[in-house]
Amino acid sequence: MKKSVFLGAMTVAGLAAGAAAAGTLDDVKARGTLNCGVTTGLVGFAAPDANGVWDGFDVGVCRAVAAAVLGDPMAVEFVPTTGQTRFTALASGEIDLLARNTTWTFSRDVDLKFEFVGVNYYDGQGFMVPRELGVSSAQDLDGATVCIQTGTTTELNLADYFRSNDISYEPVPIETNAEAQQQYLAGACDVYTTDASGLAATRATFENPGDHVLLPEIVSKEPLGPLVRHGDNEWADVARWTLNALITAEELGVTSANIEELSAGTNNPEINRLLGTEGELGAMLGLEADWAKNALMAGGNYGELFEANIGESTPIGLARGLNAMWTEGGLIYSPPFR
Amino acid sequence: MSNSEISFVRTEMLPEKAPPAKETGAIKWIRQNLFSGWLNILLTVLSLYVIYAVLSLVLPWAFGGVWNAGSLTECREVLFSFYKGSHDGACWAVIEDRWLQILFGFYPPELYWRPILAFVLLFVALAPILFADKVPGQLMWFSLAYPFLAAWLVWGGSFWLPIFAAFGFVAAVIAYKILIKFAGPIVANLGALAAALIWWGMLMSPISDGLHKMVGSSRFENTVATLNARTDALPAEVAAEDALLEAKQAEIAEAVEVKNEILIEMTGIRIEEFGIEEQFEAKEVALQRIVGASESISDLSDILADWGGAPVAASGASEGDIAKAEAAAETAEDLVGDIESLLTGALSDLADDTVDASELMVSSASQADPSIAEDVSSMVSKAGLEDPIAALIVRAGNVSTETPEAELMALQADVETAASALGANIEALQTVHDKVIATNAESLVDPQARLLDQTSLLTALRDDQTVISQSKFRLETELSEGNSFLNSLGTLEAREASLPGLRSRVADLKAELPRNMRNLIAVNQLPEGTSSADERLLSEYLSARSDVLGVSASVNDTYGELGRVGLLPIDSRNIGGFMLALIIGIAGIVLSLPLGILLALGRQSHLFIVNKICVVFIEVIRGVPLIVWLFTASLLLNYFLPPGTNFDLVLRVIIMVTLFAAAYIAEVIRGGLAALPTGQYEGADSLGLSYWQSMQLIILPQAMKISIPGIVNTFIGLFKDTTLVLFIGLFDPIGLAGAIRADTAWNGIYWELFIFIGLLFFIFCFSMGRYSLHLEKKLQREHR
Amino acid sequence: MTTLTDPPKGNFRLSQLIYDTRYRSITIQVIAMILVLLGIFWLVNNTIQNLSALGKDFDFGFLSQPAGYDINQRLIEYTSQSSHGRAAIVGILNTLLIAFLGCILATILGVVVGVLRLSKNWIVSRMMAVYVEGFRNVPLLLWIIAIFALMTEGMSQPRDFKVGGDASMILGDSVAVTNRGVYVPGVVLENGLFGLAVLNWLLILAVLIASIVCIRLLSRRADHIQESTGVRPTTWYQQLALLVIPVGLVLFFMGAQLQFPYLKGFNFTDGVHLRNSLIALWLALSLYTGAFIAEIVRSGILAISKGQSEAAAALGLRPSRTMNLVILPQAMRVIIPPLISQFLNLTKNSSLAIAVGYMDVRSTLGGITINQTGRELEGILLMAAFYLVLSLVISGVMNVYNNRTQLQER
Repeated sequence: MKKSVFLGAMTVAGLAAGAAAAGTLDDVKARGTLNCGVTTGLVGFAAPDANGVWDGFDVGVCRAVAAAVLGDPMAVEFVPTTGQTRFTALASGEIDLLARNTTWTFSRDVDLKFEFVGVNYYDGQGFMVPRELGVSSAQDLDGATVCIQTGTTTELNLADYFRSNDISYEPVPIETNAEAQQQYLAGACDVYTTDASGLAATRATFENPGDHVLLPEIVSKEPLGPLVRHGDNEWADVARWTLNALITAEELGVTSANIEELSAGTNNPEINRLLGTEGELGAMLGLEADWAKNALMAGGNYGELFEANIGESTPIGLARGLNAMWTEGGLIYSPPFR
Repeated sequence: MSNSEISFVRTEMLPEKAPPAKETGAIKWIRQNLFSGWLNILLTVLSLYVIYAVLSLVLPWAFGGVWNAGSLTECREVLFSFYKGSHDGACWAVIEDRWLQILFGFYPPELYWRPILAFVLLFVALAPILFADKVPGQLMWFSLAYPFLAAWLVWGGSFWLPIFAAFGFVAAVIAYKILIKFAGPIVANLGALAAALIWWGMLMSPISDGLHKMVGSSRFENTVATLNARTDALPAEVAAEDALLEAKQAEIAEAVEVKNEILIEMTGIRIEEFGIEEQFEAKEVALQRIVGASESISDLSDILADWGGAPVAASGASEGDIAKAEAAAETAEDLVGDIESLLTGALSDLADDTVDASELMVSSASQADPSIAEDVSSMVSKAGLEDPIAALIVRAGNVSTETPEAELMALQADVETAASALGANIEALQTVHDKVIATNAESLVDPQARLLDQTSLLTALRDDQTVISQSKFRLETELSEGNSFLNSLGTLEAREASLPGLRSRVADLKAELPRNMRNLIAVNQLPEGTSSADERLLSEYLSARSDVLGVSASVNDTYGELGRVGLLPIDSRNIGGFMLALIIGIAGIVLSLPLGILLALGRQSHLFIVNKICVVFIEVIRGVPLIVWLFTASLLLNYFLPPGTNFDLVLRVIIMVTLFAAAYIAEVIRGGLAALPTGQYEGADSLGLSYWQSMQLIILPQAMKISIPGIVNTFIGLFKDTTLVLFIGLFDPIGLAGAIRADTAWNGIYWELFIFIGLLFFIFCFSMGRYSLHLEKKLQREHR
Repeated sequence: MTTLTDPPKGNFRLSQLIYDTRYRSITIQVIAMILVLLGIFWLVNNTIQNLSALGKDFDFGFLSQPAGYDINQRLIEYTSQSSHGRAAIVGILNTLLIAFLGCILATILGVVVGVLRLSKNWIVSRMMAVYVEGFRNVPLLLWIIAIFALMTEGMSQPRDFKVGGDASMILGDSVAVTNRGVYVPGVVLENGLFGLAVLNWLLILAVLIASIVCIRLLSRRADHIQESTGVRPTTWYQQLALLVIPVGLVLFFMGAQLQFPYLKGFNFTDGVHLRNSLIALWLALSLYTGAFIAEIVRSGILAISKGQSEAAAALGLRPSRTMNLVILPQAMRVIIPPLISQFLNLTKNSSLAIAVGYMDVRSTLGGITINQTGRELEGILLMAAFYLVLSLVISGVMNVYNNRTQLQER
């Protein structure tokens, strides 16, 4: 529901006071929509289509949380944020949840006072070079010109990596992925570095993807995850367990296809607890009993979201890799629903 | 006149002769304007060359572009099927796909009439200002009402909201009129200000909420019934759209299949072409290597000739000479190695990556053009190319720095022979290639035409799909909003009933709270060593207070939705593209005019403090780039405003831009004020007019008129600068271009979007600039 | 305004503060002052409240913490271990550099185009009109992006300069124009007098300034001689010698050598690297501002009435003298004030550098530093203060000039 009437907005100076203080969950329920911060556009993770409908992997997380809280995956207002405005938007209460491929780091968690609710994508910073350079390792990059996307942890990692390996390089900071891509393709830099997922997504759209190779070195850990404000544990729990529900569902084989059938009741108590036919997990979170079912109906479980937005069947074509289920050798793992 | 009396006076003039050809018409014009001196000739030639260079680059690209495609990949497919990589073309399909988005952002398409109407009405509102002599003066009232009307049209809401907002000014005027009878102008002005602030700050929203509540309560039953019916019916409608969508998607998949078949067919036709092309690359590399080898030999023989044999430092040579000799010896050794390795490389290129002429697939082409078969059969065989090189390698292996020059020369001549043989072979291949392409061209015409038809069919299908998915999205949104509205209607009574209880709880908690803590807004503001009981009390108080605020806000919102009489409200987040640029630009200029005039007067004023305040304000605003102010709006306004205040980013930007523009407008108007002759001021004084009277009746009307061109120019500048909002995450046209490129279909698109956006900006700003120029001329005439 | 009879004095009543024009202005000013102070107090108070609620403090200590990121173009020593404060200074210097270069090129472009636009050559004047309108009516940001992209796509990559590639260096293998920037020969001092390179260059600069002062003295002496005897001694060779010889000597003794760029590995090394980001931003800013300056110059020349040049011709002045002694001095008075405000605009517009990845103060202090430390309040205040001071300095210069050249009216 659209309630922020423009002229009214001038007079409601005091109204939003609650937003920053406490009770985001109540706020969201009262408002009827979830304000979710996303990027202004990143292939596969969040982008508006010709109708202005947002789509992508991060968007899927937003929709799942909205479905869990409000029972309606459409009840999301997407707030595009830049690398520079994202934290302020979250801290000021403009958004309730930031799902903008943000790296979980110590200082963001502790110093900037945010709460990361989990990891929805394990990434790492990688390098892409044209095949004709014949470079096979990042150690061979001495003296190379490197395109970096600014406003991220990337430039710090890069500085650290090259410094510790005693390699000289020439950084070319670029504001957006699209510009960096253009610079790289024109040969204005030898190397493009950003998160490995971004590299793969970028390479997939090249005219000749085969002419470019990703180097084996991954120089940093980039656990990307949604985050909320510090100090609102109730809301953090909701976001955290919605994400966990998506993951657990994949582990238990609950998909958007069979969920109706399974929610009638199964022999597996954990599925029953997850889908609300047994136990009172929803009530403990302050949500409906079928919260997780709604979240799963929004876009499917973690694996389905992955496949639909960035998986191997999409043009982006990312393999699960680290993001496979822990049962399949990956890192995606959820605490039990109990 | 034959009967002329004075015979020696000419009575008839000779008929005028036509001027020489080079002094008339186009030739004269060209001679005079383009080739009147050596400098001019140079400039003309240079200019023509530049124009040619630019156009020859841009025109084929722009006009050879693709208009029908669903993604960049499809664009490339179409281009390849026509030009096969020899020619880059624009992919205008992205504009075809997204132009409405670039104009309107995510504004709902069915409501486009609202911003368009607002835009058209803008010209009506401007009429009394720009054409004061041609339109009735009463229209001025419309101009005053326009800002409120336009905001209402764009953002929607109940119809009384703009009226209420405007009423603040009416309240101010009334208060002024009343107070001026009892007290002086200072008191009256302050009173007017206070009246307006009281109306906006305290009375307006309760009255508006009350109205909403009144209308809402009377509608309650009705709304619930219709909503229930609607939400029951909607899922079926969504499902119907879904079915349509699926059918359309199947159709599209089918069309894509057909398109791919055409592409495969074309590849089949071209397979012989591709086969020959594969040969080119390897042969050319080999040729380069052989030429390199020949160059190495000649370099080597040069060095050897310079040193009269292998370079050795003569005994007793200076240190520098020894170094030179050593370097030369090293180079010579390198060259010796190079010769052999280059030749070996060339041989392996030929051996591994090329085929014998007899293996070239030209059968179908030579059916069409028998000369191709002849050409192929007359080509040198693969062995014929390789064998001489193999022999050369053996000879090159024997070369050392001791080799006599004659031998080197002979070797070089043979290497060059091999190179020219290979070159001739490549040329022959090229001829064959050209002929094959010529034979293919005809059979390609038909599939090419079919491909174009197919892509336009696909585009049409995709457009249909967009329409369907849009209406599906609309239905889904309606369903989701309807459900959540029903939900909130269901709990409305309970929420309303809980309010008094919550309020009294807040009051109780506040009373319990130590006095010095009552103004705190967060628990972490408490001084160290506060007892935990106090801390708990404070946090309870804070959460109770936020509950009250939240519940009452949600109750008001529900009533606002229920009792809305007017237009559907649209979130600012959905406004983007050119519409956003226009809104920010126009709002910035219109709202900044009053402040700008005040600042200009203040800066002209003799009152010291007022003057200095205005100067500081203007200089600070003008001294800092807009982008910093925009960052202030997005990052810092939260710090500067009362705790917890949080409103719309677009509104914040408009406020900041208004302040920014006010400083510039103030300078423009100050220019206008300064341009008035001093006599005007003195005349006004001598009439005994007060300051405000003289400003209102004499100075400002004249000064504003002179300033209009300057104001228009400020507007153009501001309008262009609105593109900077992309840095704070708003979707201006350039920001939208970024978002469009984040779509997998259009990732990698570059110039097309920027050219489109640039053209739109150009058309708009150029026409405004022309208009301001025209105005300037008109004003100049009037003042003479 | 003077009144013939002063109103009776004494008996000051409170109501005079409102009704009496002599006191009313004081009342108004006091009220304005109070309102402004209240406003400032309100803002500051809000800020304090908000900061404490967020648990943040107002502290510039982050400036001394290590920055952790690298900057490609640095006019002073900087590594990723240097402090945020130093990164900010690097950014400030880069801003000043681009502003300075931009002002010079924009002026040259503007003057040339402004004059050419008045040219009788139809094609040339049309082309200049297209240039001026094209740049004036399209947002600068678009131009910056477009020029940057044009440069990266239009020029060769360094690896094309390898043997057998399709690009080669120009000007006798001394300059390489690549899509990463232009590499030109640089000067190195083999045996400088001081260990620090900067000091050596400062010494050379000092010598250069001293020579220029001597040249000024020389030409002043020539003026004297011309005024007293009517004949101006030829001094150009003396001036040239004064300019070239001392600096040349110093350079020679310091062992100055030209260092030519050459391809090594991925990039060219040695020589001076003018990065593409710098050149693109420089060109875009200059072309954009140049279009405005061209209009200013054109209107400045047109503003001088034809009678002036006719009168000058009647006095027997040659056309070049007419331009130098009559037209230009008058046109300058019209041109300079808006010209300097264009310089101000250019300086402020250089904050768009981030679009091409040029590391100016907005990208270092106002970009990465704020982003990494979360100190947006302090960072933006510092940045605003820097731009403000810079603008005030430039407009201060403008006011001094204005006051010197203004025609005095009554």
